[in-house]
Amino acid sequence: MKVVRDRPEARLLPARHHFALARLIAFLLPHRAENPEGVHVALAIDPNQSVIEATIVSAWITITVTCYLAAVLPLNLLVAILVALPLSSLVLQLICEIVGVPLGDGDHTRLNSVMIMLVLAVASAYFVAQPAWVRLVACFYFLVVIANGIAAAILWLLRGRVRELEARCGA
Amino acid sequence: MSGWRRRFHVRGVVWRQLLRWAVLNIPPWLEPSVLAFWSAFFLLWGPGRRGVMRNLAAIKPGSSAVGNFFRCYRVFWNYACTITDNARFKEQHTIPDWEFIGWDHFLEMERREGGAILLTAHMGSYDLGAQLFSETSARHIVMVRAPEVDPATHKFEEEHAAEGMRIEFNTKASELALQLLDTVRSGGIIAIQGDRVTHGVSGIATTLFGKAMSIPAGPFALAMAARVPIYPCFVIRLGRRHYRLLTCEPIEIVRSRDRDADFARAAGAWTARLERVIREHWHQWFTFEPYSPELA
Repeated sequence: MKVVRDRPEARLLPARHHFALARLIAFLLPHRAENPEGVHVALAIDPNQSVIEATIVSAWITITVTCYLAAVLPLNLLVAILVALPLSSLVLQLICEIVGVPLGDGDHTRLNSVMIMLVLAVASAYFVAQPAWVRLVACFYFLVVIANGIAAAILWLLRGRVRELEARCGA
Repeated sequence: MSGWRRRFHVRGVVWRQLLRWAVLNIPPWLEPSVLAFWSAFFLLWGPGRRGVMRNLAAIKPGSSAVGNFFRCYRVFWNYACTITDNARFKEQHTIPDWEFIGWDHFLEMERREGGAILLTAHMGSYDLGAQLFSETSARHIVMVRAPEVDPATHKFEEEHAAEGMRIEFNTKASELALQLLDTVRSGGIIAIQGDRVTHGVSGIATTLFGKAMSIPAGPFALAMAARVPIYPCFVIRLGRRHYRLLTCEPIEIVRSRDRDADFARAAGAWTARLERVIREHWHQWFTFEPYSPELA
């Protein structure tokens, strides 16, 4: 794994983000930063390094699954959301188990990443047709997916400039 | 406790196996919500929760039980994130971002001719810190730690240890002491956790946040015998995959005729630094039992 030393501006490099939308935002943000005196940094260049991206995506996926579960639970909405919140984490982990356990030992994070998004796409396709509040959640899911696709296309067009930026920051 | 039940105890091997499975199957971008869930789950572990809350009451005098309950969750959350980062490093060679404070002291330790003792606490990731040292330092480093309570967990950790690290367990203190003395005299660095005394290890009486506690005597005895300085060094988690290595000014044990007084002075200097760091980073101190008999 590549490590960049004493280049705090490398913190926002696209290469430290996983999803295309996050990489595009990282590319567009200014890359200027200074180390406080006496502080040295060593930054790992890994696609899953961004804390902001991981927190936002994790929260968004969890809230989406929570809303879908709350919509199908035969409970008062507030109670349903409270019950669905811990359940959503279990459901997401269950998807990983269903895929990962039959495959045995090994790194299945990429496959599970795709499977979770596929399952959510199918669920969102169902809920987007429902005449209820959950329809907005499903629409938002598809909006984000489409925006991510557009961001991927833009990044492909800007690939030269992205590489230049990464070279400038020592990555 | 029967073998079957021991596996599911909070320090049992099942949770280590589950963590390893999670690291190899849960996408990294889903980690925050999964860790939030499991951190809340482990709040059900009464002894650990109570231990942390009692320690927090000492670290933050006047704090409420409700406030300390939520602080306890933050400790559990940090611990979950730390052991996950550790597991990701071992399985996928994922390394975090590092920030270095006190780099001059680290370089001084690196460049000195003789060996040194690196004294740390149960904070951040001991394993990640040790691996960082072994990659950035040309010195021979030996990490001393207490073995896992559960034999199956101990075996699991040995089988999945990071490559290239030498770990010694302080189960046979007298035999280990001679080996460590030899290592330090040959110019090696010994890394030891100095905030907890485990069974069979000699301790020095001191105080932390005004409460009586014992710290291991070994590092100070080793430093005195080998005439090497002790470098307080802390690995502090600043956020997701972001750690700080804080290296403090060395503690030199000045020999006089009164060995006990020499030890007490050095121990006092260590606990003063430890207290300062824990006061600022209480959410990083992974001590799940009361650190003082006065808190039990």
